[in-house]
This record gives sequence, structure tokens and C-alpha cells, in this order.
Amino acid sequence: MTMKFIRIVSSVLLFYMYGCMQNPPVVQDGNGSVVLKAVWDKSIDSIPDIVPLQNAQVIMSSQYGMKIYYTGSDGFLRLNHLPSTIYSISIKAAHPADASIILVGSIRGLNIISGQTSTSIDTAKPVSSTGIAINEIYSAGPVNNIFYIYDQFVELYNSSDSVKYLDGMLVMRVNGYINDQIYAAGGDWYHNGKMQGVTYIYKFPGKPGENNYPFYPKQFLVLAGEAIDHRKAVSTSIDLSHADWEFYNQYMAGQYDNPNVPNLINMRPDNGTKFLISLAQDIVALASGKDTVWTAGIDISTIIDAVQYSSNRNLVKTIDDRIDRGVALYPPRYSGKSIQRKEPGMDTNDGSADFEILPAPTPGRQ
Amino acid sequence: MKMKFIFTVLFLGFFFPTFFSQSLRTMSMAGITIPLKDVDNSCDPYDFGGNISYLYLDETTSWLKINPSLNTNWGDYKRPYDANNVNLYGINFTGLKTLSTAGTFIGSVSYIYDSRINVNRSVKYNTYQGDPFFINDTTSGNIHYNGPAVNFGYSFELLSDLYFGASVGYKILNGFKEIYSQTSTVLRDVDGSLGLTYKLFNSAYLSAGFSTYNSQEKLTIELADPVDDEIYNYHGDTYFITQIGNPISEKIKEVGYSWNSQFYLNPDKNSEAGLNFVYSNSDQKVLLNKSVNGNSLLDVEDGYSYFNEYLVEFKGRYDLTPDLTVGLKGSWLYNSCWSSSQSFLVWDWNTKTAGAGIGASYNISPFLLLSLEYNYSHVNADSSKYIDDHFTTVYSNDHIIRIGGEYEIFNKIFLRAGGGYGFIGKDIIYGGSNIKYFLTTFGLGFNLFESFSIDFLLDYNNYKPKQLDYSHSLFDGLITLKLFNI
Repeated sequence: MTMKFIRIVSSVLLFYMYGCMQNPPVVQDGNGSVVLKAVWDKSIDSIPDIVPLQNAQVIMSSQYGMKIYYTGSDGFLRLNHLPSTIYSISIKAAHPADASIILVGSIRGLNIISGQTSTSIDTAKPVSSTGIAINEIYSAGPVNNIFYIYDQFVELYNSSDSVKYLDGMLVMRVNGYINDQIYAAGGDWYHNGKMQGVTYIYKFPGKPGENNYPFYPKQFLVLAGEAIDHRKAVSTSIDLSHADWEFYNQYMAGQYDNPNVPNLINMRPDNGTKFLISLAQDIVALASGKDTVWTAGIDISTIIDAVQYSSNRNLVKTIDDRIDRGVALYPPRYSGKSIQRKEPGMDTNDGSADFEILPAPTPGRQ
Repeated sequence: MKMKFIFTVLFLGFFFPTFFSQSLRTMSMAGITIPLKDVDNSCDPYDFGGNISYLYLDETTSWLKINPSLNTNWGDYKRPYDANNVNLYGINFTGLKTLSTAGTFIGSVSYIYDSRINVNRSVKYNTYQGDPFFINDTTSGNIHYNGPAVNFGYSFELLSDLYFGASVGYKILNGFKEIYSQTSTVLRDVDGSLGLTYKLFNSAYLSAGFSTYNSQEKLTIELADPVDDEIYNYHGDTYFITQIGNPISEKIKEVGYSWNSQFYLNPDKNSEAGLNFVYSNSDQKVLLNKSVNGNSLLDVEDGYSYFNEYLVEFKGRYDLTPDLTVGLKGSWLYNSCWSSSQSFLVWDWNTKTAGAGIGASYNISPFLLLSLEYNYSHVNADSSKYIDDHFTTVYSNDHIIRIGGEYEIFNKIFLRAGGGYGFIGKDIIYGGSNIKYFLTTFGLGFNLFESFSIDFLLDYNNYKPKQLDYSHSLFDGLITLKLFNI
């Protein structure tokens, strides 16, 4: 009996100790490497001319956040001890001859795995700052606990060297959808080159082609939801009483209108509410106004710029790739923060790389 | 075969295991355990190894204990996410009933209020469990936890010389962080154990036991105001992922198993010796509740940790003379643990601790008992924080000497006191070096009445690194009212 008891106890113990132990994964995290070469393809016709970009800014974004590095004199960036995850990389460098041109490039979905070295060549393309872009969006709301959300604004910037005209241009909120997988906001649902899902559509006065409302080079324009000093309502808010434009819904009874600020007016008679965009995720679009039949979708070729933003990193992008290729990360609701382009007006058509979160909005300035 | 299970209430929760597994008497004498004889400090499988099956042989009289307690610790020698101050208030009722040959029942119910002041960022109940998955917000605030714990246990003679025991336990705690991120916690633990003890021959026993536990900590980060929360799920010391939303929900699930075995030798009243072996493992998962590819909310694994532990320990005691008792203790503990995320090894660490201790107790007079104990341990720890590219190997030689005494100032009224001094070469938990450890204890015991006794304990511990102007202190205050023959 005694020996039997001892044998049973010993056998069970040994079986358990060796049978239930788990082995750790073989691959250790934090040991990923990347060799990145940033180049500028300035080839003309059939004459190849690939130039390394020295001292180019390299922004690496992943689930662990964003880090900024710079390439060396040979255009290479070598990084070690990186955690394993999927990275988005964008590079930016000044054009050696023309300060108005920025060289930009991006790599999306680069999977860096521990123990392996990923090699990538990022070919930058010139982005001449020649147009109008949505430069800043503030809709998160000020720090408050009374649900105050009315101090929103959209900022435009003319990064070109010429005067542009706003006559007849459209500013839209795009968050309508039928099915969030197939017929999602900002998509080309019917494959006819039109962006669907327009919910708010406001227009600058005039018609496209007219020259009554100039937008000067290097100028910022603030389009306010309500052009008032919001600090009088919530002390942590901002003053928009000197905004350049104001969204005004003429179909809404009793909406306040700042007489000193010109209006964008509502194109949808069926919409009797204030112009408001979502605090945490939405699409804001700017179009030339050559196509205003929003019920059939807005022709993508007329869209000057659009930004999809979300505070949820896991949000699946819904806006059509021809309009923009990324989702800009947005701050939390009621955080008093905004998003702004890293360089004024610099639009690489990748919102995830172009924008950064600001601790406080900067209406009318970078 | 007698197979009657009756359940009463037993406290085997995590809150006061050190307080009530040994008596306030020994704790009042600087916590000396090697040479001191006490009814709750023997070398048997129940007192020394926690094997429930030996309860039937360990306890021979019925009693009820009522234990109010206060435990507090504070100080600036702490880790980044520790609280400035922790106050633990508890009340515990433990009852034991002997039913002759039908078995012995023990049970407990307790209630705890755990108040943590200025917890820096962390919203986990056990911030430092050895895993790299810290869960933090941005504020330093107070977190209060409270809730009950209950346990039931039973031990009886299954066959001739073969004893069986079983216990189950349950506890639930609710917690709340007062300020942003206003995290609510529901902590639930279920545990159970089985044990067998066989009398090998006269005065020698062999035991084996199995225990398991299952715990879940559910965190709901939800603000009353319509403001989004930001929560940071760390993977190591450096890298973290950010979650934004209101509410945000996470779970920490842990399952553990443990096998233990004891050998106990008690040839006569003058000597006893015990050997305890424990092997345990557990795994822990951090689960984020989030939408994946537009689907409904799912629990997605963010981190996984696996813990292995081996413990072998020995304790023996011998009466050299009727007034002089000497004791000896030795132990070897091996921990091997690792953590992973998405099939990559994040951290890997192990510790080996070898310990030895000797002590002696001497009755100077019928009224005065003095006791002295010395403990030495050697710790060897390897830590590989792969994701942080940080690798350390630490050795430490630790020495602690304790002296305690008990004086019967009046008939059956005892005054107890003790002190300790130690040197810790390298503190692998808090990171300091050359730590000076200081301990002082004070206690009173009133055994005036046949039907009940009262014991009091006050103790103060202080840890201070030699080169730093920081220290960490702990204070305990406990009372045990023990009613006999209930």
C-alpha cells in the first residue's frame, strides 16, 4: 500500500510537470530591422536619374504610435530593435532647387518581423504645393462636460503661388451609407466615378469660373460652424468670431448669423439642422462645384480634397482611393484637440500620413 | 467508507494568507517561524504545505476566530505604477468544527476594503505580476476595491490511515478609480483543492495535493461625461497601443494549477520535520474587447503570459533540552516565466532562490521565552526584455536576523515583542541596491478564560536603499479573538 501510494503520487507529479509545460515562442520580439532607401526619381524620358534623398524626414507609424527619423547622406535609414508589427512609412524632403516643391513618398503595410531585415526603397515624388487643401479640422469639441460641440471649424490653405477663387465651391460632410461594407460613406457605390454618401452640402457664393472670392497664395481660411466667440459659452473653447466664412443654413429657423462673416449656404432644402461634423469620425470634402447634383453622387474628378478621420485606429477606410488613401487619426471627443497637415497644404493623398494631432486648434495659422 | 461532505465557511482567499496561516503569537515575535513551537506553526502538511487533507489530523478542537485587521504601506521607494499608499481593512470569521471520526470542517467568510491612494496611471489590480502587459491611463488617482471572500473545506479519514480533504473558495471584488479614466473593476476568483495524506508508518506521513484557480479581472473604462477615454496597453516598458473610446472594455483571465507533495516526520514530542514540494503553472491572457473587421465586439488576445514555479522546502525542529529548541530550514525556488504577443516572445525571465535558516528558542524562565533566527538567501535572476532590448542578470545575497520574546507579565497575560534587521544585496522587485531592512513587532495575548483568548499584533517594516533617500514602510495591526469549544 505504501509503495503503491508513493508510485502513484510520483507518477502523477512527473506526468503533470512534463506534460503540461508550455514552450515559449521561438521568435523574440523587438529584434526587427529595416533598411530603407529614400530616393527621388528625376528621370526624364528614357534617361534614368535616381537621386538618394539625404536628410529626408521619415515618419514611421504603427500600432505603437509614430516616430520620426532622418535618412543619412546616402539616403539610407537603418533601424534595428524594432517591435514586430505593420508599419506605414512616409518620407518627405525639400526639393533641392525649388522650395515650393516637396518630395514625398510612402510605403504602406510594411510588415517588419523580428529576426528579419526588411528592405525597402521609397521613391519620392514631387508634390508641388499648387492647390487648395483642407489644412485643419477641429470637431472634437472643447474640454467640457455639457456636451458643447459648436466650436467646429474647417481650415483651408492655398499652398500655390497664384490666386485661386472660391466661387461656387462646395464643402461637404460625407457620412451617409446603406451598408457599411459595400455602400459605405465616400465610396463609388455604382462604379460610375461618383462619390456617394453626401449628407451636408454647403456652397460658396457664385459659380465655378467666376472670380469674385479670391483665395490668396499662402492664405489660411477658417470656415466656422458658428462664427462667434465660443469662449463665452465654454471657457476652454476658442474664438471664431473672426472666421473668414461661416456655415449658414438658411432652411433652419432662428440660426444665428454673424453679419460680419460671409456665409456658405446650404444646398439641401431637406436639411434643417446646423452644419456639424462628427466629433470622432467623419469625412469632409471640398469640391469645385462643377457637379452639384449630390443625390446622384459628386463626380470624383471635381473633388479638390477630402479627409476621412477617425479616433478609432481600427476603422476601415471607406472613402474612395482616388480621393484619399488613408484615414487621419483623430483625437478623442471633447479633448480640445484638432488635426492639421504636418506641412501647410501638403497633400500626398494619404490622410494617415499627412495629418497630425494638435494639442489645441490653430484657426488661421499653422 | 465515510463519504459525507458538509460545508462550512473557510477563508483561503488571497488577502490575508500570511496573517491567518500563522498565529499572531509568532508574528508578534518578529515573525520567527523556524525554532518557535506553536499550534499553527508545525511542520505538518497542513501548516507547512497547506494540504487540506491533513486538517483532520492537525486540528483536534473546535474554535471560531474573529479577525479584524488593518494593513497599510507607504513610501517613496516604489515602482512607477505603484500607489503612494495602500490601506487594507478587513474582517474575517474563521470557524473550525471537529466531528470526531466524521471529519473536520473549516470555513471562513471575510470582507475586505482595499484603498489605494494615488495609484500612478495603472488601472490593473495586480500591476506587477511579472508580465509586461501594463494597462494605464494618464492620471494618478485613488482606486478603492471592496468585496467578500468565502471558502469551504473538509477533511476526513477515507480509509484506514488514508485521509482526504477538499476545499473550494470564491471571492469577488468591485473597484473604481475616482478620477479619469474612471475605470470600474470586477475581480472574480474561484479556487479549489484536493488532498490525500497517507500514514506511512507510525509518526510518518506522505501527502499529495492538487489545487487550481480561475480568476478574471474585468475592466470597464467608461466616463460619465461624453468624453472619450484613452487607455494604453503596454507591451513591455516602452511600447504601447492606444485605445480610444467610451466605453472601453478589457479582461485579464488567469488559470492556474498546482501539484504539491509533503512528507512529515514526527517521531516524538521533541522533534518534527517536514518536506514540501510544489510545482505550479498558470497562464494569463489580456483580452481587448473590440470590433474586428466590422463585426460585433470580440475578446481579442493582446498578450499572453505563462508562469512556472518549482518549490522545495524543508523545515525541522528539535528540542535539545526541555528548554532549548533548535530549528533548521532550507528552500529552493525556481520561477520560469515568459510572455508573448502575436506569437512573438516579449519578455522572458527566471529566478532561482536558494534559502537557508537556523534558529533557537530558549525558555530562560517559566515566564520568559527568547528566540533567535537567522535567514540567508541567494537570488539569481535573469530578465530578457526582448521588445525593450533590455537584458539584466542580477545576483543578490540577503541576510535577515530576527530576535523575539514572550513574557508572561501576569497569569496567562503575555507580552510579546521582536525586532529584525536585514541586508538585501539587490532588490529584484523594486530595483534598489544594498537595502537595509528593519522590523519591529509588538503583541499582547490574553488567555485568561477557558472559552476564549485575544491576541493583538502591531508590526512595522521598513526598507531603505543605502544610497537613496527613499524608503518603503509597512504597518500591520491585527486582532484575533478565538472562541473555543463552540
